Amino acid sequence: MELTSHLLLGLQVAISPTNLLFCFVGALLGTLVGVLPGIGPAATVALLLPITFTMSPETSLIMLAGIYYGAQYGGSTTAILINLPGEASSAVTAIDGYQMARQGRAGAALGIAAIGSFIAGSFATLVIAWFAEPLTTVALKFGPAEYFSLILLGLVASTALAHGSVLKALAMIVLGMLLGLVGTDVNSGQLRYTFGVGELADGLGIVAIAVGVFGIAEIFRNLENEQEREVGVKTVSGLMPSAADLKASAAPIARGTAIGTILGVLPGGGALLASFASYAVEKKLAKDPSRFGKGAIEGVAGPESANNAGAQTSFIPMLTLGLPANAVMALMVGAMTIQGIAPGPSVITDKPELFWGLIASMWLGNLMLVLLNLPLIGIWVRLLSVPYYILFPGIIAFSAIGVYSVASNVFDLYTLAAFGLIGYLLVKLGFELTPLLLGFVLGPMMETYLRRAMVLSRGDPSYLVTEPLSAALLAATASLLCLLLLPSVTRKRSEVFVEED
Amino acid sequence: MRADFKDIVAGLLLLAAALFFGLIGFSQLPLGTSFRMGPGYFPVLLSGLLGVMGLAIAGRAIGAGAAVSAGQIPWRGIVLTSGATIGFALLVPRYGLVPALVVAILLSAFASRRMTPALALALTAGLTAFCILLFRYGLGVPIPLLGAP
Repeated sequence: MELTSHLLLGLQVAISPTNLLFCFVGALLGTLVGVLPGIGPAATVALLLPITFTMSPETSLIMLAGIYYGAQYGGSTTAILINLPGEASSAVTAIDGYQMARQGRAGAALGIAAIGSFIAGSFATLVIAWFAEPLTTVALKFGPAEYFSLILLGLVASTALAHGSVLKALAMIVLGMLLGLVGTDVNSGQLRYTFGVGELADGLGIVAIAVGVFGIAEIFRNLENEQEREVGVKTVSGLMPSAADLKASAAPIARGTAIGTILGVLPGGGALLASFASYAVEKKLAKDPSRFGKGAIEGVAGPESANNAGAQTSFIPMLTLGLPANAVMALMVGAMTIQGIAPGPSVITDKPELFWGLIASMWLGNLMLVLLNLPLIGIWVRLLSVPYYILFPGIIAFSAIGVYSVASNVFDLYTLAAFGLIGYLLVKLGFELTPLLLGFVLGPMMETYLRRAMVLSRGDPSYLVTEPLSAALLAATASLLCLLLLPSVTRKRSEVFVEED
Repeated sequence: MRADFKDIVAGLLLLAAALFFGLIGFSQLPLGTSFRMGPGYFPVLLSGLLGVMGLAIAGRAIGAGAAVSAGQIPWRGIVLTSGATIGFALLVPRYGLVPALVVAILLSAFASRRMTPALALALTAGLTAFCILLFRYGLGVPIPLLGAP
């Protein structure tokens, strides 16, 4: 069977000693930043991008992917142990997980979270393998008009899951796109918005911007009110859930996996939405919904499976279409570009070892997380009590070296400092930063596709709506936009996300 | 008059960015036609869109409920942390990695009010050594330890 031979090829790549090592390093680092406050997967991936330039493309993407799903694991650990979700998508886990921990069942909660995540991650990995090829076949038929409309749809859809106002998220996308256009225009060779700064000819550095807005700005936010992190649970015992726990969790894990696999494909944070949706479903289906919020194991098993499945399937748009669904995927697109690979549907045919190797490594990485993280839980607990003010001089030092090592360019360091300040200002004004980064990566792509489409149509903009597929995508974009800006939907959205803050 | 001042500032800031990108694009970059788009075409289009969004955000805020206060702004942390990055930028090309790291870590350590001088010195020594081992010897990042390349 074709799928089997592809997966076998992938496994061969993934179990080479180097790749296995960096898959492990990535997953471990991911768990670490998931546990530690003040630095998330986006900032970590951005920081490590420069280091991966010297690796082969496979190894670099395998490690970066490991950071991403490792952080999901780490995030749930803090959610359960100290009621402080390390990552947004673990917010729901904290509700019942922390209650379980207070009742002395932290081990069972952590255990079921790990088991559920592994099952969900394995299933979602299979789904990626399954759908990748048919999807890329469709994507290869896309012309510039279709691509333009598809990116537009993806960008608008990503704001549906933004926490604040949709209009503000859309504005961040546009601002990001404008920032992405700084540098040399590929078509005419003309410099745009460089103001005679030679270093800007190649554009603003994605590493400097991402580390600035996700790393430095985050430090400022954490400095706003410094407080000790209370680690209520000092020791964790009994990691293996009891038979009754397993029985109660089986169905929620299956449902969470299904919900996460589907919702994860959506741009803009499918994993986050999936965990909320799974929690709502479990609460609705429970015989006694009043147990929820008081330590129901279903409330941990379902959402944890959902967010891990969602984290995996959010790779689908990036791998098949070259379109990132969230900030980490945007950085992976950046990593591929720097490695000289054009992200998009041709990757699967031109670089099968990269494509299938990455997919197989995700499964191996998930397995390593279960096998290694559960025994290491004591170390994570101790790390939780590291005071923040000891951590962030390290974050600053790593950021500075990481950004500078991209091109030994001092200008990138000034960009880093500037975007730390800009990012903090924007957050203070109620803007989100993920749309900014998505716009930054996708803006130049959109310009290229729009230009090509207009050349094909000899400058007639109606070409975008007379091509049937492009018209359908634009119609979907328009109706989504209307829906999002409707006052009633706006209210509903704020209700959904209110639990998070 | 009731107004959400945070959103008014937010909208006006976007408007300023739109004017900045739009006016420079309009005056300095060839626009071209829709058939052959010049380097200014897409940026000017986006700037127009951003300007409208900025106005909409600011306009919507007039008459809306007052925003929650901005909360505490950690000025000391912001100044020291940004200073750490800029200090690193100034030192690293001339004097090398070690002095740049020492200055950056010392400055950022004092961004927190809880830091004590003894802990800051220990942290600086430990982190500098760790970074040098990791980046210079572990990963082979080609930045000289002392002096210009």
